[in-house]
Amino acid sequence: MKSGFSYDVDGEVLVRAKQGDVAAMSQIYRQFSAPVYTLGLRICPGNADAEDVVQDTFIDAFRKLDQYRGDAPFWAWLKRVAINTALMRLRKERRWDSALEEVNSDDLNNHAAVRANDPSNAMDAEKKLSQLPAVTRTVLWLHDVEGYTHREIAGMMGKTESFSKSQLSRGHEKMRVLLQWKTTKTGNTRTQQNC
Amino acid sequence: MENYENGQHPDTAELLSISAGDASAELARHVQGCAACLVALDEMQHTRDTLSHLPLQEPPEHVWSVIESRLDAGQPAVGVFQRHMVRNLSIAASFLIAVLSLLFIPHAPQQGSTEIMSLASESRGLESALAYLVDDSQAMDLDTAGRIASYEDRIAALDVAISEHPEQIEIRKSMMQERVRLLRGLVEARSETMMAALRTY
Repeated sequence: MKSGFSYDVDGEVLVRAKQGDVAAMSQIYRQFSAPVYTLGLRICPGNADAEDVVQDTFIDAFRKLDQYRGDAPFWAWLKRVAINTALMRLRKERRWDSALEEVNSDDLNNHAAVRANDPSNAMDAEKKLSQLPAVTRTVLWLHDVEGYTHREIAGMMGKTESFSKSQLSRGHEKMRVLLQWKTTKTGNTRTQQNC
Repeated sequence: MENYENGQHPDTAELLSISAGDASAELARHVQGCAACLVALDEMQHTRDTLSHLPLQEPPEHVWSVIESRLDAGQPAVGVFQRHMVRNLSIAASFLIAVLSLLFIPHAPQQGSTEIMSLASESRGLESALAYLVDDSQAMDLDTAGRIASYEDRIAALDVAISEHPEQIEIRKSMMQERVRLLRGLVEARSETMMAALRTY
């Protein structure tokens, strides 16, 4: 797992930041602005949305620094603040309900068919990830990259573990299509094939 | 659920349970001997690797300046609320009382299309009130945001359903009743958020 957050922060810098030292806050910002921005882009694609996630995350984190007790690494605490901020934004933008923005599988297959003839897009996994429905994309990212368990994701999103598992499953199925892998080996439904 | 003896393959969720380490013995046995499932597992791992190795991206330089100025200004987390709504707290409080009074207006029972018209009128009133209630995600906790989003989504889904039953009065009436009930819940939730924000000033 590689999310970019997993770096320790100097304890003295944290103490100074808690006391309102802007230089210390700036140091923390420089250390974590890229992972927070990247997380924002993954959950709420679009530069403006991701910038807002960065702003609101750090404003919120700096104002709540006295609530950070040090019983978990600072980066893990900050990451949760960033995720909550991004999820809040998704909800506010009404991109939350996956049922309302379900991507038609035929559309995905059409995308794949077009892209198969366009090698310049072969490595563009980022764009392909952004084509997934918001909730599916978020669960896929939080589970497979940020390393959260289904229970943790369910808690963050106010859903059940089963919901998280089914979204992860859908995310993998759709990414297989978007990344142009063959879809008929096992597919997303049971198939009758000989092994 | 599990029957891999007749050439059936596990679905994606079952394959993912292997990665999670909670697959059944029968599933694990099948996958070990099945080239297609091994390829599928390999593709899933490749997706994980691809996503995990996407490069970090840096935010534009100006973002820190904005954060710094917001911190300097001591701008509360209810940014939009402050920017767009409250110029005068007494006006806001009076308005809120007027909006809340909408929730307690008694409605006499009516029949058929008359009741639909009455419900439509009540819907419009509640929607007008909503237009003035600030929607500020920063001022609310995640549970409240979720409750509001749930109301909004259910209302949107109902609107679709109502448009699909233009002629069936009874169905339409019960949907309109539900719509008014949801709108009342939404107004109440938004009002609570606004009152909580007012208390912080």
